[in-house]
Amino acid sequence: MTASLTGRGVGHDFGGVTALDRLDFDVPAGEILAVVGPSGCGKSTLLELLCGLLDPARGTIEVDGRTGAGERLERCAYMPQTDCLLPWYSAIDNAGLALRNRGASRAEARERAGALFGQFGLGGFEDSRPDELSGGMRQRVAFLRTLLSEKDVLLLDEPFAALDAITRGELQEWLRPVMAAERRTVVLVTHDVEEALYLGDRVAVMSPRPGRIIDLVESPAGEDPSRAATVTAPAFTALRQRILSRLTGAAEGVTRR
Amino acid sequence: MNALRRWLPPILLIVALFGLWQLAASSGFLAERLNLEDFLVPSPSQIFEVLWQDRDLIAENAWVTLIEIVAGFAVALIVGLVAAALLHMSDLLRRTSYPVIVASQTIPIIVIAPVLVVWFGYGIGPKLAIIALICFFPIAVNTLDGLRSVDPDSVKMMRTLYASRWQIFRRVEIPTALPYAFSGAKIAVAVSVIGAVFGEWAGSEKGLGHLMLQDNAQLMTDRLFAAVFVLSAIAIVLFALIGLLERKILRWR
Repeated sequence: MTASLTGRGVGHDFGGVTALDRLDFDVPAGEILAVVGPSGCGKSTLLELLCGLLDPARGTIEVDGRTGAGERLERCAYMPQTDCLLPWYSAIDNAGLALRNRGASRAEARERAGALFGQFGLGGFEDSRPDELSGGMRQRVAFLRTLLSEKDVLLLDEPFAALDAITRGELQEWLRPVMAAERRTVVLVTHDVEEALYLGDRVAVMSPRPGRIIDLVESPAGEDPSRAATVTAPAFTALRQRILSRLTGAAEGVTRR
Repeated sequence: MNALRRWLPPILLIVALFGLWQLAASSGFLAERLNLEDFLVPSPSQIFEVLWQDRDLIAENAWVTLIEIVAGFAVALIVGLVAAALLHMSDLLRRTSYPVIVASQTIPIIVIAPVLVVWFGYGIGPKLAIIALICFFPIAVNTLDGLRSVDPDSVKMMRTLYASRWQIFRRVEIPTALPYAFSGAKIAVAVSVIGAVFGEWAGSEKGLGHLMLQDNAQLMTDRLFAAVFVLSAIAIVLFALIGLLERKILRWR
C-alpha cells in the first residue's frame, strides 16, 4: 500500500526568486528519505510541492505514478513545522481529525485514535488540551494525527525543530521503530544532520537557494536500537562529517560568488 | 471570594465617584460654580429618589428601548457574521465592498436619523436600522480580521487530512475567528445604546431617549440623569452577558 515518489527537473519560484531548481529524485515505496539543507533552501517548499499544495513551475512530480496536484494531495499527509494542534480540541480529537474529515463520527474517531494513545506515550492525556501537553507530547499527537490519515506518503517538516536537545533525542529514538513498523514512504525535512542520518534510509543534501540536491548518502544501517550507540559509530560520524563539509562547502561557494 | 475580588474594585470606584458627586452637588458647590439653580445640578441621592418615584414610567420606557437594542443588535450580529464569512470567502467581494462598508460608518447618524423617521415612520423600524447600522461595523470588521488571521499551516495540514472547504471553515476558521467576533460584539453592544437614543430623539413616542428629550425640555434634570443611569445599566448588563457567553464558549482560552 505504499507509494513511490519521483521528481524530474523540478523547479519553483516565489516572486521572481528561484526557490528550487532542477531537482531530480526517486524515492522507492517504503523508503525514508531525509532531506538536509541550510535554512531557506526550499525544503518546506519541496514538501508542499510533493503533496500537491503547490504545483511546480517547472518539471513533474509523480506520487504513486500520478502527477496531478489533487491526486498527489490524496496520497500525501503533511506534518507542518509547528505542530498545528487546534487549541479548541482535546489531544484525542486533534489526533482523529483526518478520520472526522472523512466522515467518521466523533465517537469512532476517538476510539480509533485512543487505541494508539498508550503506544504513543500519551495514555491518560486523551482529554488534555494541547496547551496542557509538553512539547514532546504535542509532537507525538501531531505525528499520530498524520499517521491516522492512513495515507501512503508522510511528509514531515522539521518535526522536532522546536524541541530541546534531550526531548528531541528521545523522540528520534521513539520515532525510528514506529516508522520502521509502518513501512510508509516518508520524506523528512530537517536541518539537523544527525537526525537525518539517524532517521533516514538515505539523506539528500541540498544547496542554499536555489535549492538543488548536491549529494545523496546511504544511511549506515545500524541495527543497534540505542541512539547513543548509533550516532557515535565511526561509519555514522564519518558520514556526518561528509555531509557537514558538503553543506559548508556549498555555503562558501555562495559567499565567494 | 473570586467573584468578590472581581467585582469589588469597579463597585468601589462607582461608589467613590457617586460619593464625590454627592458631596459636590448637595453642598451647593457645583451649582455655585456653574452659576445655576440647585435643581439643575441634582445629586445622586436625588436622582435615585426620582428613579424610585417614577419607576413605573422609567421601566415602561426602558423596556421599549431594551427591545430596540436587543433586536437591532441581533440584526447586526446576523448580518455582520454572514457578511464577514462572505467577504472572507471571496477576494473579489472583499475588494469591491470593503470601501462601501467603511463608508457606511461615515454616515453621520444624528443627521440621517430624522430622514429615516420620515421614510419609515415613528415605529421601531428606524431605531432598528440605526442600531444595526452602528453595530454592524465592529462585528463584521472584527470577525473578518479573525477569519483572516487563521494560521496558514493549519489550513495546509487540514487540506492534506482530507478536509473539505466547509470542514476547514468549521473546524479551523470559525474557532479562530470567535474571540474576534466576541470583541466586536462587545464594542457593538456598548454603542448600540447610543444608537437607540439617537433613533428615539429623531422621532418616537416611547423609550428612554424620548423620556430624556421630554425631561430636558421640562428642565427635569434629575429624571434625565435617572434615565441615563438606567441606560448605562442596560449597556453594562448586556456587555456582561456577552462576556459570560464568551467565557462559556471559548473554554480553550
